[in-house]
Amino acid sequence: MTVDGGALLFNDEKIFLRQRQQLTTTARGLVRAYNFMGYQAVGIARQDLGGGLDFLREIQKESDFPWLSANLVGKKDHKPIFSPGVVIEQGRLKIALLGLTGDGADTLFTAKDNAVILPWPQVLADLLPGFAAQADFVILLSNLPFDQNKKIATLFPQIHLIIQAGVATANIAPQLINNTLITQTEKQGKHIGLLKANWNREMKKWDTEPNKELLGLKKELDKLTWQLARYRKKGDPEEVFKDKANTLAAYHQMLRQEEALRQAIAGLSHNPTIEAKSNEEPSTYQGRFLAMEKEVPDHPEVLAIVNATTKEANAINKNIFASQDEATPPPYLGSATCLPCHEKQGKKWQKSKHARAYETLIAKNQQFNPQCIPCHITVDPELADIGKAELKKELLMVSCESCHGSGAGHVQSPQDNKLTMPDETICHNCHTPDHDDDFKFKRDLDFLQCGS
Amino acid sequence: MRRAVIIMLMTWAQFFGFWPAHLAQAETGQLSIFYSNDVRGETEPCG
Repeated sequence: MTVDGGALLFNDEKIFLRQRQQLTTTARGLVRAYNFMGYQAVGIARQDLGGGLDFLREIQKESDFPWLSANLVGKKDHKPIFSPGVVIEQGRLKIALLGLTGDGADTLFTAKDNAVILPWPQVLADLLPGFAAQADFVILLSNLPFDQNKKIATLFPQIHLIIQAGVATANIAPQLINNTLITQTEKQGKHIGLLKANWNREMKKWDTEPNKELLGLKKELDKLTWQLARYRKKGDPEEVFKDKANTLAAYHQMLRQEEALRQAIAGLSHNPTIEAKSNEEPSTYQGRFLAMEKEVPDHPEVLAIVNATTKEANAINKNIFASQDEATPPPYLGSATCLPCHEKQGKKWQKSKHARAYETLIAKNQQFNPQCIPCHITVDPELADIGKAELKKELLMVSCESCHGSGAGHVQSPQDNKLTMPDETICHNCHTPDHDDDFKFKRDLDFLQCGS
Repeated sequence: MRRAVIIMLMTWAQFFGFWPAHLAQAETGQLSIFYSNDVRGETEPCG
């Protein structure tokens, strides 16, 4: 099954009015992609309320999956505004899913919303028994921080898995607290979590004492399998090493070890064929994080949704720029003014990616995205509000003044207005871990090669 | 600086590399749960 803990639609629980059209467009694109991928439930995190309660109601209508929150309720009647939870059949197991939105909701709703977020203890005490009675396995999609989820795990052992969302940034491998696993994936969709469980629906207990001897043997077998694969890399070892008696003898020895290990593992395993659990055995699990590397192939239909959404959002931003009045022109001159005097540095810079920084936005249909532009043109990257005036042709690149500051005074009187020689700090304005997790100042300065 | 807020659809498109595993599941007491959270963020899709 496939679920999402939440914090899907927006990064923040409040979005700026100017960005609203773009961000709601991309949020709708995400929902289309999730519909296509067959998501079965998504939790409502505070961030998902960034477009307002009415927007989330619209999104629910467009979603093929339920948005879950047990504690997002009407202010007066305390009835859930969205589904508090669902029960889904997976094979022969019935899985209950519930959602909890992070509390402290005073700033989230307007008076018209007439909504409130209730504290979790009472909500879970009221709802959980009903869901637990219908299901073999209970999952909570939680927008609460880890310490709160630990308390939930301590108080409500009927919950078997908590998927945390919107409160931390790194992968958290499944941690067993009482009878509940708590886990979450890293932000930005860099990983997908995969929990494989061998669930005993009668006992409903995680195994708290995994067999250490068995784990050790499996580790040894993994190592041996890897070594054997190396022997087989160039073909059948019996052929490849037929003239190397010692090597072949070592290979045969490893084969015997492999067989012995397999037998030992089979002997120790309660459940060597990974069949369904018997009534007396606690349940086991394996957790993995699957890295979404670039090598993982795109699905053409999802890619089409991505491209259509990006194009639509870019067109919205283009219209916003077009409707603006010309503001005060920026104090930047562009590289053409610098190059006649700084020819050597200019020639090196022209070969760098900085010189083509805006072209990369065009290639990705992001050239009007105000959230991308500051790091792709010659402008103060701290500038909060990029406008039409900044999109002048001579500034559509990351050029000399991006790092050295405005050359307006320098070009009038170079000796009196020497420009700053930037240090690493300025690079980190744009090369943040979120945008460029492989940035290394010394190495990458060589690529820039402007000699600064 | 104001950082970019970007959808991670490009990354999500890659998700399908694992899809067949999702379909083959749970005939016995076995359960495979793919899960995600916080998929939005500030990262490379700008360019």
